[in-house]
Amino acid sequence: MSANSNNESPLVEVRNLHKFFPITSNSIFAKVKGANKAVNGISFSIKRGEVLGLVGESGCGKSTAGRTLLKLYEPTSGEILFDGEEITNYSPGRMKGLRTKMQIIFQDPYSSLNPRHSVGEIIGAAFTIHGMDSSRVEGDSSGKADIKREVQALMERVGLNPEHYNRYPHEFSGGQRQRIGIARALALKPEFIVCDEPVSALDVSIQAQVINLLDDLKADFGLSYLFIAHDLSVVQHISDRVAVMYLGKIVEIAPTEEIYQRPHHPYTKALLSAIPIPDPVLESAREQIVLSGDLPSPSNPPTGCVFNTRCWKAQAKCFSEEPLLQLVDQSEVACHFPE
Amino acid sequence: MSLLEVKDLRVEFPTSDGIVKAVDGVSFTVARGETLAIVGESGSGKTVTNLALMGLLSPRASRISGSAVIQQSSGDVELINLPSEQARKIRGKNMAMVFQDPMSSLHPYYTIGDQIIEAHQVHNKVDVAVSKARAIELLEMVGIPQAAERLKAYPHQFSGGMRQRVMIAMALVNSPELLIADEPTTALDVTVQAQILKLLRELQSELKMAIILITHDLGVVAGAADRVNVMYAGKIVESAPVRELYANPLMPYTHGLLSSVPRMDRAHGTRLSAIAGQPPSLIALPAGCAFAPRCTFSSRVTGGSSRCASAMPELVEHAPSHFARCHLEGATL
Repeated sequence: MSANSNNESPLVEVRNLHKFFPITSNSIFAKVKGANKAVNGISFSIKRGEVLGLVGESGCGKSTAGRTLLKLYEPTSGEILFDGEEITNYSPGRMKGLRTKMQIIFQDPYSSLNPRHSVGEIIGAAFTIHGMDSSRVEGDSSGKADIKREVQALMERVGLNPEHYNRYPHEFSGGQRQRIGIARALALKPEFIVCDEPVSALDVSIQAQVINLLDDLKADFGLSYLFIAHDLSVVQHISDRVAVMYLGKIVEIAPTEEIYQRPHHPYTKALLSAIPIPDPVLESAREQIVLSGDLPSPSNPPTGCVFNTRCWKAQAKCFSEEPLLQLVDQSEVACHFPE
Repeated sequence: MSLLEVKDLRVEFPTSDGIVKAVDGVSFTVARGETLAIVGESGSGKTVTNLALMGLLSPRASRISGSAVIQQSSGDVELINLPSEQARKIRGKNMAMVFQDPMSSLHPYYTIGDQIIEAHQVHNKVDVAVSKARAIELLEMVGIPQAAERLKAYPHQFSGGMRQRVMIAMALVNSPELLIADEPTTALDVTVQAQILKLLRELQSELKMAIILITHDLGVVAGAADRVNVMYAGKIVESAPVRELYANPLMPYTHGLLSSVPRMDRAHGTRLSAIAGQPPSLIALPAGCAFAPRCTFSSRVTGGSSRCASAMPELVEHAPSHFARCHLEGATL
């Protein structure tokens, strides 16, 4: 741990982060016509050992937020701090050093693993790239045996058979591939991992295995996660705090218990009520809020509150003035008329 | 008699690696107006079962046996291995299907009006104007605003939820008695999923049609189904009325599935009880119960776990209309 870190200061912090993707006209002399405002001014922080869940529907900007935070996308504006250090304008070369501390697990275990590389190569690549392949063991100048031992230990830790070191991704099932992705992210002993929908592509019984694994790894290695998902029941399970995104903005952020028991933003309330509970008795007794309409286009978000086109409580003020995050009980809510 | 009666349905796909037994002796019935959910994980055979009923499996690539009889005003019809001429008369008229992916199941080159009108014209010798009126009526019924104008729109002009509404409108254009909905909300966001499920519930009570709902989501099942069939490795392993199944699962797989779902109404931070291992390969199915290698209850079976590994249990009725395929014979899990 570096000197300036203690339990109080956040490990990761973003302030007023924006990421716009330009929309260009369809000719060879492409002109910028507008911008897809995928992330439109969000702020949050994650403490050491904490899991922040980031939820929202497709197109709300949650994945873009995760990737911009890791500088896989260049931020349009705003600040990103890691361990107290501002990394917003770090060059790719400087970022490379930090990559050992910040990692990502992707959603699709089918397309995020190179089909032509064996599992050993995929997980071991991290050591090679970061020059950790030699001088670890005396008398082994290539370091290959060393990497193999390290990779096999990782494979064992995530529940893969170390003897499958030389196998290729297609020889594994979806759940096992996701374990390969997890082992790869863990290889360099990171402090922070962005989990971008890590279980969405998996079957229920396998999903539970992977969630439990992520839970254990967090405890064992003292990891912090930004856990991105559209499934609120999964997020609730693993997160300490939850942020709800809608159209590029965070509309509510609160401790997990609080947000699930007392949602204050109408969107959070509707989102929670839309999730089916696997219990027919409770399900039939429950009152659902069914939102009308679809998500507006992020290139042209509504003025005022972004949720005003679908909100049943919207009043004149909601169309003219953008609500800012304010404290209601233990939650921060961006709503003029919180519940 | 029930609307649909399926008996000992088997679907095999010969491949270069061996024969894939996708559906391995499935029997069930669907009554008029009820919703039967078929639940299972990827590869459990839930979709293939219904593709076989719809006659949508290529006879060259698959071997289908067994029986599936649908009741019709003009007499009962056997659906399995029905000549394609006759299958086409039933498909889209007596029974229709809504697919999982509304992005790829509409033709991108035709307006949605063309596609709905065609579905009506195929089965009715009426003027195009009549079919058009019917298309508008259906689009209004599924909640698409300005239906008459939207007929001229192309699929790409609609959002995912709206496309799924169009798919439902198209499926219902000939008032089918049986609607097969294959993961109709899986590709949709939760708030849109809630809209579509509500729509299906309303349409069902209005049109009195039977629905076979195929899904992997136990939450969706809890809110939408009357009865549930749980499938594992090509077989029905448990079948019961929905409340009975959730309250008293008799097959360890169902029990495991229910307890491995993260639930919002449970306390935060409790550990999920995952089912260890993976589903078996459909090419090399074990001789006994396909779930035995993953089962934690087999030691409680009289005769021990060796019995589970060697003998396939029968689907037996343990409580009124509650069937389970397990050597535990209805013991409480």
